[in-house]
Amino acid sequence: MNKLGSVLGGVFALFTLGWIVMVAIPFLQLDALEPQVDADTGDVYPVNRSGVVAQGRAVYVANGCVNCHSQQLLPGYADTGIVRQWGTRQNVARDYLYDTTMLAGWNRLGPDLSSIGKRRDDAHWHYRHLYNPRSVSPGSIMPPYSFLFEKRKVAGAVSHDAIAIMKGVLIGQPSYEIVPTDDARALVGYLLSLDRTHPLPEALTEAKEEEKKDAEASGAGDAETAAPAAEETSTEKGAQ
Amino acid sequence: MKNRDELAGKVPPELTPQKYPEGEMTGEVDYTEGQDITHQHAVQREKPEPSLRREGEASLGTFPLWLIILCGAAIFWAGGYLMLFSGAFRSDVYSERRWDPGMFFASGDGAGKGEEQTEKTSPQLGEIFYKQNCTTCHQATGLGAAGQYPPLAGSEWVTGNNKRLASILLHGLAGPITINGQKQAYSGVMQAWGPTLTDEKIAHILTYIRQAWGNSAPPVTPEQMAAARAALQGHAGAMTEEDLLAIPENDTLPGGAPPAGEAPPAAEGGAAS
Amino acid sequence: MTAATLEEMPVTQTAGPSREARERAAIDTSTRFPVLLFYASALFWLFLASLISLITSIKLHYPGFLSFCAALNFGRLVPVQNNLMFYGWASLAGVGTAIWIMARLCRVELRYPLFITFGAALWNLGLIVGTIAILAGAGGPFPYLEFPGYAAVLIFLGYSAIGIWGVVLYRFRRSGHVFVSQWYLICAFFAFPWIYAIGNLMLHVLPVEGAVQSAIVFWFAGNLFGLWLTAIGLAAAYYMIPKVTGLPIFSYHLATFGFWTFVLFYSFRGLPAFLGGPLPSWVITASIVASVLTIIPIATVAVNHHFTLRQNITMMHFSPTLRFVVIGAMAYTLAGCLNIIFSLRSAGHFMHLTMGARGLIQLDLYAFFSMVMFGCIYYIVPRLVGVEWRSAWLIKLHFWGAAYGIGLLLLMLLVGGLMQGAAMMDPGNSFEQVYESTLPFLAGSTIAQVLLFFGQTVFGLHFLMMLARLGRPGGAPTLIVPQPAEVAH
Repeated sequence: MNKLGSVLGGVFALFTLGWIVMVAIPFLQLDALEPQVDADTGDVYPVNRSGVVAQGRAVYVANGCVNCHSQQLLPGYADTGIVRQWGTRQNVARDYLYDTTMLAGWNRLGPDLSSIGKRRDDAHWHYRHLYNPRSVSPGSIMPPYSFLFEKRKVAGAVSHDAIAIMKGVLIGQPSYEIVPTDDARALVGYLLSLDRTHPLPEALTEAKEEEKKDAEASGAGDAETAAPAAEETSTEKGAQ
Repeated sequence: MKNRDELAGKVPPELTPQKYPEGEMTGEVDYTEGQDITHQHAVQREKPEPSLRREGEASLGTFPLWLIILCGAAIFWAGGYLMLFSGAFRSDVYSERRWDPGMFFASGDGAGKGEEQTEKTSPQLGEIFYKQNCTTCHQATGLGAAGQYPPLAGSEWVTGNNKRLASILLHGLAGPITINGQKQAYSGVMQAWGPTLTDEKIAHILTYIRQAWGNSAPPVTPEQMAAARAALQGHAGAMTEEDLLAIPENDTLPGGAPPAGEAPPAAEGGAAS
Repeated sequence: MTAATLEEMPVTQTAGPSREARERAAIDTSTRFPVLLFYASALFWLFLASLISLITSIKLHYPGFLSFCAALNFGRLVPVQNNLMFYGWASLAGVGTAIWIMARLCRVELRYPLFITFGAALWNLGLIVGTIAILAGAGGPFPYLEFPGYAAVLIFLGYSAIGIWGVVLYRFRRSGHVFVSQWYLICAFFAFPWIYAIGNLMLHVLPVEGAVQSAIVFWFAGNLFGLWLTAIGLAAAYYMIPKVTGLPIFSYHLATFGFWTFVLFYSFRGLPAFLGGPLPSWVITASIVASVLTIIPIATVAVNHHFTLRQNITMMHFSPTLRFVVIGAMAYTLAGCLNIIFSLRSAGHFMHLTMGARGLIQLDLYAFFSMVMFGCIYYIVPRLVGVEWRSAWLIKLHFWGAAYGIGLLLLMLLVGGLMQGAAMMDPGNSFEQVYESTLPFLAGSTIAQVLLFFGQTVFGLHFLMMLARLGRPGGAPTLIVPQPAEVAH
């Protein structure tokens, strides 16, 4: 233990072992993932998002939304998110296949956003919520993001996406409207695009788990469990 | 409480102050500069640098028994836990409580592998590419989002002049646009897909959207798209509504046989502005 | 080195200070400027980070507080606070302590201290650039990796200057046998650049896509807290406890075994914080197994420290160094045990995604590491400036503020986190109801932040007085409770 080389060598070897097991092997395993393509409907999930959605993701990152909101639903024993209608199933690696920045998060000061685009698909609700969260969600601790909006004089007709109108001080004075800036539009575009409810075979839902338990209990072989699983997938999609 | 050495009658030699043997120092310490040591009271009153019991001298046994038992128990637990909860080290097991030992021997169930593409028609291919690229904004229903993304269902820009439509896909669209009589109802920016999508893909997408959701318009072929790309090459930036209307109504893309029984494309785009 | 060459030889008796004292004084003279610079920067960042922590803690009750501009947004202040606490206060104080301890244990002077000073300047510049970048909206979304690439490069370059010098000190050491602190410091000096470079490369420079980013992020955080911060903290505790008490470490074999199991198991830590997440379960299971096996090094270190200190435990009462360091070392054991318990899925999911996770981090970062660093600063600074700490009262105020502050903070965050987790697991509670049930704990944590801020400000002022040589003249150390001269250290 007196030689520099032996200490350094040992530390290097153990550290590299940790990196290989924790990072390199998962990377190799997950690198081979492909999107899910349904043979009958041609549905592809997930899709590679670009344009306004990518810009919105950058706004999401720049404002540190990930410090309060998670975008991952855990299995049922660890998380009541599914019961709370935040999603339909736990999230798996393929849900984030094309995410250049993975925003799964680590904190829930606010609700989970993994499928917020499906849950709240009204852009106007999002604009009002960003401007003043307590106006649409009483008791919310989300800070107001009024700097994402601009106040300007109404020119002609009121803009269709204005969230509030304020009259001028004197009668006859022009009114002011509050409209979202490009950053707000991009952010809302990103939020509306979040939908991770598409069924995936590796993401067990409560129904699939029950089925699997029944199949194991009755001693059915793999082929028989595959058939009900396929039916379950199509009935789930039919119900959506 | 006494340590084991005291109990054994031996007083550890380290309790007496350390003396550094002269021979170990390789070279003199230069302290002719720096401040007068007599004022460094803190350094003077310090105890010697800490030491370990040296090898070969009396120590407290080679290895405590409790530590060996702890290690053994921990390793045993670790092995069991790894067996039970690691999902056979597969990359498609995400819920460690729901798997069975048979999975150690099962082959992959194909999760994560894309399906083989069988022979598909142009609208079918267009539907797939549309779902890959367009649904985030225009939705799978083609209805878009009110005030945010324009609808494609029943839109005169989709069913009308195919050169105008091709230009939107190639160069993007900026600024207010009137659809279905709603003046300036949409004022966002659509990105240009010309750089990222091939002519074939755009042609299939356009064919699909011109025939879905109740739309009825002639298909667009990859050759027509190539011609459109060449004709619109000089246009810089995104298209605006004025740019679109600057393309004359009867200036459609050359080539491409219209479906049997349908009138020529020029007469189809009648519902513009 | 065999026993034969370590035979004791008589030391030349000189009038006045002993040879060892002269040697130590010369070493301290050579390390004075860099170490004081590290401590001064670290305390500045600590002040700033605790001010920001106070602001964000208030924002959790009053979301409208300071919400008028984008730069003071909660989502931007929290990354700044976390990064400044870790890379500003903790890392810089750790580096200063590491350089001093390494120089002393290697019994070699620090040559060309300007090189390390340049490293410190680069590191501080990187922190400034990174902070401004985050406040301007250019930060990233990964915990402890929010600094953009250009700021991370500055920190990396600054570290390179320092790390190389630390290893050089070891390479040219004069003492024969090697002390356990030196192993831990070598581990830390080696591990930091690799972890930091790989994390930033794989996430910023050549980013990988998708879910594997989470594996990298949590591997990064776990390894950085373990192989960098904990290693320096343990090295400092292993040095200070026997140094101040004058007793040798209890067992060499335990120390060796503890070191290698530490490196082995801490390399795999980090991922239990991501339990149930979108990664294959085997990755998380492997990390949980390694976390539970860290009981081996933790127990080893705890036993070693306990039996070393046991004969002289009463020194904790009056020595500020020993008080802070021993409380830190005890907190290390507590932190390790709690991390083990909450890495298991059945218990962990109550803490997951709640404020309890932050409490576990604070247990490591503050209750263990910062307390050990405070103790080291109390010991080292008088030797660098030549005067003793001015006032025992200021030390007491700092200690009360820090100890009660961190105790209250941990109580609030950990208990609050458990309650929040339990409340969330009941789907009958709406999200707003869960938040309201945590309000008392958030209020308590704000009070704790006030106590911490107060204690640290007192300490900062005391340190500034020492820099200005406004201390008491030497002779006896400044003790919390006055003692006769025989127990001087």
